[in-house]
Amino acid sequence: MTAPRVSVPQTRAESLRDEPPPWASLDDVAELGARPAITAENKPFWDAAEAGRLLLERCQSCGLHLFPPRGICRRCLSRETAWVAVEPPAVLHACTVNHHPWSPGMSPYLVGLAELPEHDGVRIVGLMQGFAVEPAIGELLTFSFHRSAVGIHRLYFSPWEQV
Amino acid sequence: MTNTAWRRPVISGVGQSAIGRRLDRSAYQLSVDAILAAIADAGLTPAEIDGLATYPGNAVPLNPGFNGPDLYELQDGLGLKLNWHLGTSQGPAQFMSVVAAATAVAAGLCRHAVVFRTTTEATAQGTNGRGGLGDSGFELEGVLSYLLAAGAVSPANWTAFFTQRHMVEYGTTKEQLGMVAVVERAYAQLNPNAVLRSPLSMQDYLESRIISSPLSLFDCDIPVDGSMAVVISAPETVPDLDHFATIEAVGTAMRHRPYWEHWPDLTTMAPHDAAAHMWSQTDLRPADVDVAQLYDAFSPFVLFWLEALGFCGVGESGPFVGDGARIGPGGELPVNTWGGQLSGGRLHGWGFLVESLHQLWGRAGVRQVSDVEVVAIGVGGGASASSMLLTTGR
Repeated sequence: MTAPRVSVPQTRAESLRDEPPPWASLDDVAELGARPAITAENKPFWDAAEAGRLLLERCQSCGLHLFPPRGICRRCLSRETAWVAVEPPAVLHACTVNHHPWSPGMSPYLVGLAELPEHDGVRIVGLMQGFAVEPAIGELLTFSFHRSAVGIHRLYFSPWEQV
Repeated sequence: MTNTAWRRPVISGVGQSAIGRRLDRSAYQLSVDAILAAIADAGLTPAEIDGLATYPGNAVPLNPGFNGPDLYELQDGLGLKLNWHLGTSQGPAQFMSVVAAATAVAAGLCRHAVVFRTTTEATAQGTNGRGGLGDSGFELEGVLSYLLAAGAVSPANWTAFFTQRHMVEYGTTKEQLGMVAVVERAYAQLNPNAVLRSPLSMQDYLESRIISSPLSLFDCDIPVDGSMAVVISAPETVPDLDHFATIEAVGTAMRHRPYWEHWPDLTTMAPHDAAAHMWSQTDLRPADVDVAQLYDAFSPFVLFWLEALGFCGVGESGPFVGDGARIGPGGELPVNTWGGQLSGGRLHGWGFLVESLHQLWGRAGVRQVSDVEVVAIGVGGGASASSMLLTTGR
């Protein structure tokens, strides 16, 4: 698979530089991150991620969307939970351009925090790809899953294309 | 003074090892230096110490050099006969060990407890740049696991989210963040133990490289090696002490979800819970505070703490810092008078505690604030925090 490119937004400080920074590719950032422990509670989430789907738990008793998954509602303590698939868009809540090279030669990349407004505002975190400029808070995002070096499939945000 | 909720414990001694960028000395030996100095400062001998605590002790390290030595190595190596001891990593931020020891002496479990914190992050980092968290190959559980799995590998990234929200919602500026760094450097120039003492101008700050926007290099604290220790003593020991500081109140509350990414309002942090809890236990008020020591893993933490402790209103911390006069040397609320972790070094909360004692005991040299009777300390940020109010006990 050809690695999609992560675009790097222009910030005021970057405009002081002579040349725009290079883009980080998915391969460049694949080594980032830790391997999460796969537990009985979260295995369906990571299995779905591998299949390209975002799953959340939903309490069948009070309706609250739950993340991280634990099989017991954190609001009403019901043990009746079900998995629901979440479709884009998510809404950007905050983002940052990471410039510090965690390994030598690493290029800048975008990290985003997004909300799922129709799912009780559950927030999800991911690296961002395909942005020409730094996206604004409130911008709509789509998401997809790609394999990382630690073996899990993790979430990436890209611009939401209106249909 | 006014807290009737508990038998107020006191801090009777303070000590520290050499503090430096790459000391190349073991965490164990640095710890012994700090502990023996603190015991001597309290006018005690190791035989009189019957409590020992540290954070985090022997736990899974998130960063090389983060943890310090095993608690039991110190108990054995100093020949301590303990009635109470604790080395643990889950609790109210960097002062969990201090609060636990204070509680233990107040409850009568022990009489004189040594509490220490040691880090060798600078030596462990070597000549490499700062690494991300959790990239050492172990399988991660717990509240950071989803952030780190997602590739948000640094607290700088997470703090950037909060800082951006504060800027967007309240108009906080990069220059206001920078003023925290500039003021702290001015204090560091008055502190022979600070690791960064060369002048820092606003222009230097604005031109420094970006770490994770909007945070740049001088918004981030600097890893060091060092150990710091205090002796916490039971209130009935006060007549025998040469000097002491009263632990008037502590804040240990956790009232929201323990995840940075799920914190409900990203213009606030866990300090708001800790501070509210602390103020609920005392009649003292923010206006009574003479000096504030506010955790600064990143400069915006200082803004969050200023608001949390009620020194200014929510959203007003940027203008409160303003041109730096209010929090700087000679200002109405001196903040981080030792240089903070941005310039004094990342002693993981303990630099603030040690400086508080220096200020209360008139030992701060050229940076001494006059007539200090009450110091507020806040440590931590993100989803975990604790705070303390120390007084001269008068």
